[in-house]
Amino acid sequence: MALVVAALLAGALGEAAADEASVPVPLQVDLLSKVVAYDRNLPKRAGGKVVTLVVTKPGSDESRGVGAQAKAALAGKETLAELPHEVIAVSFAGAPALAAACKEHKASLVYVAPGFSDEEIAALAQALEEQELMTVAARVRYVEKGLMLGFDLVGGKPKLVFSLKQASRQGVSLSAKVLALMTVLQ
Amino acid sequence: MRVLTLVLVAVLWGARAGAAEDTSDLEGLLDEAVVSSASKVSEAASTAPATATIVSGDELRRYGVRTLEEALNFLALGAAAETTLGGSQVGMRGVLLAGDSGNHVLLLLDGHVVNEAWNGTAHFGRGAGIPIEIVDHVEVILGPGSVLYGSNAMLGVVNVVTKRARDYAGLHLTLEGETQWAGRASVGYAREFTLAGESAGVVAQAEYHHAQGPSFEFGPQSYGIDAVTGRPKVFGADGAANGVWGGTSGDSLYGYGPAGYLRFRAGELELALRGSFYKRWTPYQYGNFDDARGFEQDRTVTADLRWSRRLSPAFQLALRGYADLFDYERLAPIAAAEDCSRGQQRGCVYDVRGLSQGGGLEAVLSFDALHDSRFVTFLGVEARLRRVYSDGGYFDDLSFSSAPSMFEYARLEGAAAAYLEEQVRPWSWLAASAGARFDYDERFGTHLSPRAAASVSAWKDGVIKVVYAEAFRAPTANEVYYADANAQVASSELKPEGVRSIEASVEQRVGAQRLLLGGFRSWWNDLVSRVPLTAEEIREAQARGELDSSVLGSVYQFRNLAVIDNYGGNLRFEGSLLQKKVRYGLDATLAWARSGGGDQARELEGAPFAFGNARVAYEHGPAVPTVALAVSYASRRLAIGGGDLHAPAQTVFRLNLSGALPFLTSLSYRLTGSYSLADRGAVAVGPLRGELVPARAWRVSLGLGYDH
Repeated sequence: MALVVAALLAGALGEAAADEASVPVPLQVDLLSKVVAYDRNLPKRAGGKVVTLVVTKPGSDESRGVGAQAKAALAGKETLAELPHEVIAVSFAGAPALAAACKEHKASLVYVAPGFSDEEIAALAQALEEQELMTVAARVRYVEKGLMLGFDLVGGKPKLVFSLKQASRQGVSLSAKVLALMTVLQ
Repeated sequence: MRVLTLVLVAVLWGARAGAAEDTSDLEGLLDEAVVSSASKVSEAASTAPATATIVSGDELRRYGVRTLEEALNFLALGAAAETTLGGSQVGMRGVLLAGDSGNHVLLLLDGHVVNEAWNGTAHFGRGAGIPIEIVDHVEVILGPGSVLYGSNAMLGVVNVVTKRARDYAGLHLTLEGETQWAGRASVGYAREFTLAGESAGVVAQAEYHHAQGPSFEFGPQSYGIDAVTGRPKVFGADGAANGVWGGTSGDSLYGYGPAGYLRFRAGELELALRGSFYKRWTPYQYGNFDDARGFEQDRTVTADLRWSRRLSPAFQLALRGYADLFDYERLAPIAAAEDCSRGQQRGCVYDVRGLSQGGGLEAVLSFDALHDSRFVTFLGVEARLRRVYSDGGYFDDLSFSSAPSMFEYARLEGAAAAYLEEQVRPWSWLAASAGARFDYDERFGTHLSPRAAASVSAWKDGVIKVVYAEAFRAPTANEVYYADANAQVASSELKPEGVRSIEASVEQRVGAQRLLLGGFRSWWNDLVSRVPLTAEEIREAQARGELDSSVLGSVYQFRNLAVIDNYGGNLRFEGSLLQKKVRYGLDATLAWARSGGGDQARELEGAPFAFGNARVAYEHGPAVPTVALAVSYASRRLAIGGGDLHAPAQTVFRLNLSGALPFLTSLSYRLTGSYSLADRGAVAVGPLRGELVPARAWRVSLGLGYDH
């Protein structure tokens, strides 16, 4: 009874903790840095510099926390795929605004922190579809809703989940050998 | 040398073959273990504040592993289970406390303590009551772990993490059979769904197993005369009085019971329920030889309700409530008068029961100072209430109609704990933590368990780690309260056992290969031993009314007496080739452990100085069987209860073929064969303890699975 009362009281505050087993953010970033190096179209897409946008949801404490971790870890990667790398934090202000920010900064990677609804993810994915970039999801269910690459934890080890459909739309090309290491959603 | 050359050629050939697009680095990162038991947060094992490894569900399936003891022996680093006909005894890093019923290892199931509250028992064989199909992975945390978990985490922590509904969706049926003879049926179901707008899921698994036999030859051991009757001692249920123990065992080697587990999640709430019943016996247990009327049985029901929420950018709160019911009984028919109470000339039945009922609440508050997980403080508090009860004695017969129990105790005990830990990751290359847990328990008073650890990513893909930790084991209810007016004085002043440990390790990843080298040193103190009282101590106990005035023979008491000194090293080498089609691993531990000190130093019973395992598997794809070979090794070791008798080194080979049936991909099979080189285990049996328990040489099992 005490547990239920405490839960009800605290339930008025904050947001539900993530319900998915999660790959630690530094490991996500290490995996991401390996994967992008295999993207055959990245050098052409990036020009002389890889720009990563880290997108967080305003008002979501979890989003802000994971976003901050991701930004710090990505900032530690001075190069990605042997190209200079820059990280920019962006607070989500709607899908069209994000698309505009990606164009403005010539983003090659967009890391989407948790805290978004399925509808927001779908809108975000659609808004970015016309641009050649890789969208990366901190939560694997975002890949099912339209993002390109996500991280799952199964058997105590990380798994990469990849949307081939989204990749072919947005000009990301990975070899069959690399795809064989992922769970590929057609 | 030839084998090593072949391995090197394979590794280099694998590297050359992929030189055009080398994915070995990515493969290696995808094999990075992620654990949650070392710090109660999800983190890479390489930077966790302990030597932490995992055994994945895939590995369990690939190598045909069906129990935790097999997982420890064939797939884990630094842990070994001495498996005999009567169960298993688990040791880590060369320390094994014989007869402890697993109460020096903390066993968790999704974070819920499995060790029961009466004796701290944790089973690692079939008696664990954890259906293997539901296991996502097993986390093995070596070394003292009381800083977060309290009692029992002296050798280490083993946390069994079950699958999520999304990873186990559908209906799953399993039927297995094994030679000489055992059978098992299991059914599981999982589903994700939406409940009142929240994502929800349920995972459930139930199993029933039954093992019977085989027969073994024991003895003969010529004991001689029964000290009470003056005639040759009787060892058998048939009453034949020839003073000889042994023969061909029949039906008394068995084990069976159902078990089930259910986990339900809706939004931020999660409920887990577990129930199990496990009944077993062996031909050489206390009492008559090969008497199938004897048994040991456990009945367990547990519940765990948890809830977690982020309150603000800095604060996250987790609450947990839990309840456990445990019931143990051991019944041993005894035909010999000298093993019974005075006046039981025609034998007796020894029966003991132990019960524990209790529950508790735990709250953990985390404070993330900079909102980015670089400086996080954890504060946990826990309160528990438990009732323990035990009775037992020597009854005239199975009707229990004679005099009441020789001993009986019941206690209602409260306990509380608070722990504080600071975890810092100021830079990407440094992770450190320091903390302590303060336990209060009506049974033993207070105890403080600190831990400090640091890991440095000193060079590319290399991590150096150092850890200092302490842990304790609370004295069991039996050790504190058990008293027998003819043979045992209660031990109300018992303190907790303690261990201090320091370790250092280096881990290096090169592509898809990973090497870990570590060294450790531990000091154990106040270990509980059952010691005989001196004549004067007996008189004093009689004067206090704790012993019968007509006591003859030895009288015992549990005391904090023993010490252990231990040091050694671990090695793990694992990796993959051909894009994970070939996987291999090697775990090795060399450890020196002695109880007592100086001239009194003695090997630990059952503890090998060298042990480990090696494994290799080839997994081509669904159309071709997966072939996996594993071998476990334990060096020559002092037999348990056998004086200076030593058990031979044991090597066990395991070959497993598994895959989907052709044209029926929803059906799968598993064919497993095991062969043990040594035909004896490390337990001395019989009244003279003059022989080692026999071990099964061959096992072959076939399993069929259906997944819908």
